[in-house]
Amino acid sequence: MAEKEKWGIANIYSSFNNTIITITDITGAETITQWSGGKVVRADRQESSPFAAMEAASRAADDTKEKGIVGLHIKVRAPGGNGPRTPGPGAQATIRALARAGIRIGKIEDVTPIPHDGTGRPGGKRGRRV
Amino acid sequence: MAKARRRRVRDTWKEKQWYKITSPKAFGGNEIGNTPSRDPELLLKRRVDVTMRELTGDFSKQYIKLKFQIDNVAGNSAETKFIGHQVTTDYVRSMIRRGTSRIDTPVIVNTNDGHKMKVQVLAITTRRAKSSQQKYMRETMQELLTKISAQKSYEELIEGLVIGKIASEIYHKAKKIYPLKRVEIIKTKVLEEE
Repeated sequence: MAEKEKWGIANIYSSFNNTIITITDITGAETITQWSGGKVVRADRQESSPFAAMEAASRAADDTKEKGIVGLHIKVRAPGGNGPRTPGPGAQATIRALARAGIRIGKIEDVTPIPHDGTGRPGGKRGRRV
Repeated sequence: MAKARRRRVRDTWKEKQWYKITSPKAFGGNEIGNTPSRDPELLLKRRVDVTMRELTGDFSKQYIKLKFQIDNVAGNSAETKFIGHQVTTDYVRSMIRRGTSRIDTPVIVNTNDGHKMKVQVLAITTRRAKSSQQKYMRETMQELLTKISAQKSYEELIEGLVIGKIASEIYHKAKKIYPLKRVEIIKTKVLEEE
């Protein structure tokens, strides 16, 4: 059999406060690179912005290509648990930026941890009062 | 400081070697992918998720994920064993509607060659079922599954569970209790091996 092309997994954790991209091999045991929105922008409030995610993703793509990986499967994750269950603003931007950088995209999956029954959401009965 | 750390990372990467991961013999023994490692010892217990599509090329089975774990390294290739399977969350979500009942049935089964597995069956009714009906349904499904698996060997059971033969068998028996829309085996886990 011919030498198979090397694939990896892009684990994208996208919350309203940041976007973290961890690129690993297919077992998830060996990290190839790790980038986050906070590594590319100065201001704290921009960490989760689509721009920061794009920037981080393109740099992550450079590192991955350098190590000889041609394609990535994607696992998107929101905070989950008792927090929001939809991925934040950076998730979509990351996937697009990875594709634009010339990396092949395999399956895309949502891996948000959803409790079968857990602790209550913070905020109490009357909600968060600001 | 950042520079020095970066260089150290580079060095360990160069020491690493790529190993081939092959699927278990029951699943064809093909190459699944590659994983880098510094030491073959470190490969053990790593897990890979593979969809049925990648294994068989069948597009309609894309939602099934098989889990393999590396248990033996021979030279440049790492052999795996089956440790369970799971259906993707979005597939399960798409089946569940309002006004229907979701009946989850976890069963611990034994095969005739001494393997122990945990199987999770999901049945979806066409309309809302009473809890007494649900309870009865669960009991019969549990009984049926333990009976089926007691006659089968480990490999036969895995095949039946993953392909969906056993699910359809359960469907035909259990729909007499209450009209069912779907029966699916959403999760298995190997608990004990011979």
